[in-house]
Amino acid sequence: MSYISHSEDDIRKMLQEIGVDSISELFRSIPETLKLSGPLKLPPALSEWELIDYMERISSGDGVNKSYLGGGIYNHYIPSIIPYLTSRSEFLTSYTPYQPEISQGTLQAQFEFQTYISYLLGMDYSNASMYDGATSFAEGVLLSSRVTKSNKVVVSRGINPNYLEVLKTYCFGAELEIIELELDSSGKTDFSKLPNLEDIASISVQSPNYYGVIEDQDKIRPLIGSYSTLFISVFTEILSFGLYKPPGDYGADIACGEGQSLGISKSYGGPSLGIFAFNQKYLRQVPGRLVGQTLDKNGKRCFSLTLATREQHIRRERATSNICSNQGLCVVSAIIYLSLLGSEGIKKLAKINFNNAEYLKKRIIEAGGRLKYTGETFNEFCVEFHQPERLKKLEELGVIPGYKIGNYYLIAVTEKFSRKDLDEYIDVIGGS
Amino acid sequence: MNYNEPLLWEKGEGLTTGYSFPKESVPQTESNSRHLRDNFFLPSFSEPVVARHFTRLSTWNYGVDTDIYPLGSCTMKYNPKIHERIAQLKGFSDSHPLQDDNYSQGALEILYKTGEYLKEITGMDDVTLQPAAGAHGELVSMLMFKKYFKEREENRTTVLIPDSAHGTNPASATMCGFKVKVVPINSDGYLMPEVVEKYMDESVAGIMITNPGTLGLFEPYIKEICDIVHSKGGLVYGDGANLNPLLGQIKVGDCGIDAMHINLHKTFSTPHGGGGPGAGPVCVKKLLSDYLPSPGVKFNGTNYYMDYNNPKSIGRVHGFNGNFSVVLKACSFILSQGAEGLKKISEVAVLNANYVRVKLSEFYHIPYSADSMHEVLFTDKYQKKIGISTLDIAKGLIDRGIHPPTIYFPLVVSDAFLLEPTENESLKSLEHLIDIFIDIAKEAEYNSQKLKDAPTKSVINRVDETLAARHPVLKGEILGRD
Repeated sequence: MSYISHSEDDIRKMLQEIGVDSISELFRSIPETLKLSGPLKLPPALSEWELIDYMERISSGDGVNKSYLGGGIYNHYIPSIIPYLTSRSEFLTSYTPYQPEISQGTLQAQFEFQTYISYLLGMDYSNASMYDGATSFAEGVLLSSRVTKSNKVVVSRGINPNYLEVLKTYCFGAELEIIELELDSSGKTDFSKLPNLEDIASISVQSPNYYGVIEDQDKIRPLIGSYSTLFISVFTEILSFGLYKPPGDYGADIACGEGQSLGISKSYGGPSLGIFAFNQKYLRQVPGRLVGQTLDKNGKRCFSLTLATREQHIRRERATSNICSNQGLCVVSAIIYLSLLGSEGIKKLAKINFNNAEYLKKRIIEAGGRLKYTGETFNEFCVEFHQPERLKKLEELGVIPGYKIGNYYLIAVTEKFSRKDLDEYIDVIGGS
Repeated sequence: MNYNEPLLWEKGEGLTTGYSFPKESVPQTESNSRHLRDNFFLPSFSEPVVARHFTRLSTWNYGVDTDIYPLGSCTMKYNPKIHERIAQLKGFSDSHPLQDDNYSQGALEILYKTGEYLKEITGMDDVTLQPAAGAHGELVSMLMFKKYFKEREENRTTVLIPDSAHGTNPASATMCGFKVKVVPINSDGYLMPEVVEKYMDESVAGIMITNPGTLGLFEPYIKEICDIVHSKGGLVYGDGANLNPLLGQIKVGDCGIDAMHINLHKTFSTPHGGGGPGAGPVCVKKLLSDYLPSPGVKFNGTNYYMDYNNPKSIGRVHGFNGNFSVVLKACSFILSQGAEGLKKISEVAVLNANYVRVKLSEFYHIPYSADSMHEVLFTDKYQKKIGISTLDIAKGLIDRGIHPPTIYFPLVVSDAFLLEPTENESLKSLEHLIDIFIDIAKEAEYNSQKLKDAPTKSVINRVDETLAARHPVLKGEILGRD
């Protein structure tokens, strides 16, 4: 399937105008020794129907009916209007809004996103998104090192292990030392071994953490006291802030994490939505794109990209980050989702998630399961099963019972599960 | 039609809902946690209101489907609609990244095969699909360089970067703790071997080269430059931002490049989405394979699997498997094009750019005389004399219904604009573009004020971007409903 519109005659005419005899002449600046003599070894071109046939065939075995997998990517319902609106070519096929006069759609949607996210997280500002939660977290930690000029950072072991791996990768580059804090028996970060904060750039804690436990983030500001150490609050389940306090309420300097729960499909882990919100004092230090309100020549309110002097295309090696794009289309999905739900919807949906998870948790315990941690949770928890071999039966029914971590299972329960689903889970594993 | 659309929180009380809640079937659990949230307010709206709001916003945007989108260095080609349908197949869109490999054979096959195709296209030995964007791929490559020299116990602290490079290059190198040394291109727009030789020594980890460069020219001495860098023990990074004109023409690996990123959203036609998501896979030569991000995707003859056994890897660079559905669309594109289709793409992309170049050379200053590849660099030198700038030209294009090229880039040429038509523009479309540019050149002479006032036909007129930066307003005020 070709997407080229030229006829042979068009090509002839164009070559004539250019003043060359053949297309290959246009490549004369490439040394002959580098030019390929034969065609690339690729499969023969497929027609549209052959392509869809192949894709339907290989994808048909993927995924399962019901999945209790979470751990950073969540199984939430996506209202049909979201993919419908984001498939509009004006959103889908445009690029970075460099020309604000013909990009107000993207710009206003991103400004609305920045606003909703700031309020949802209780933070001063949000940028217009990062690649994903893990890279957003890593950038947050790099920021803390830049502003404190310190190269030691403290992180909780309760942070998603993939995020910690990404952080380690980034810290290898930036030459930062990572100090990890263990969890206590309740599953919360144990601050008793916190080092002297004199030369610590930041403390990062995730809540709900990887094991689903709500952290005591109210302890962090008092621990930091008058040190210049930044408090970075990480999240992978943004919907939890419909029930639990958001990072801003605990005085976080940076709130960063994943926004996939806001109407974005799982898609094997990407693209998702890196969220980066911050205290206004770091405005000129933050990575990523920012959309600001301004006026046009006639005094009409409008929006444009702003504070670009932080960014790589202007500041080059002195930029706050090398990031040069954002997750524009995922931002549009998220703001559509948020505008359908608003605060009341987010609270209600969060409560449904919480109730469902608490119900399954309770029933699993009744069936002999044991919680790994005693701390309160939102929609995800970690248990050891009485008879784990029975979980195979669930899999045979097309249900993934959770994510196995050693002897434990991390189970995420969202609004997509009915009581019938949850009771079935218990029935199969041999509940009372 | 020209209409206003208020911000969400200006659209009335916002107390309805557009979300279809499931029945609450399980007993309520009450919590008395001290961490429960206090009240907060964000407005919500019914589905029809939301549909209309975002549809109206969308009409203020210009996309590739609207008309030619000739942003240089961005390769705004047509995005086939079949890709969107494929990305929404349930098996792909509903796949969880933590599900076992046996539930992910389709997704893994896509990742594996796309990697194989990219290796063949670039002539490289190995690949990672984790990087989420081109700049992310640059970062991955610089981290690999760093790890490579660390393993060899060589203390190399500097990276050479031509002055014409994208800003992401120096920014990526800096994030890895490298010092950046800027290498000047010559007056023909080329990076010269003798200049590189002068800068190259044992303290240099390597060089980052974009080829074709940001001036739209092929670097004819690429092989010699790579040889010089290698002879002093350094590595060469190839920025693949401009891969489109090389498809099926050369293999980048044959030039001596050790690592390069590929912007799937450019060359392999995945939609740019108003700024992303993209994907920036990195291809490497054998000597860097061990350092690629972990996990990698492997095939054992029967099954595809994630391989975590990479002790020398730089580690993970993405929370999960990179921007999978972007990779999926690029894979679809490669499969629908085949080798011949890809070669045709590079040919027509270069033909289109040179056609525009020839037709506009009389009207706009072209700073470099060498043949263009897939994009053409102009400046406002002729118009500046009569007080018209590159910005005015760009805004004049908007009034004529066309998206401007990339302006004031690259920085090394003053007041430049870089125009990349891509292979998808028909001759008719190019002629339309050319006529418009000529019309602007004429208007600059006889009615320049009109250009300075442009645009007047867009939904808003020229935007005060200085004001946005001087008084940053980054969020609106939502009044609480206490």
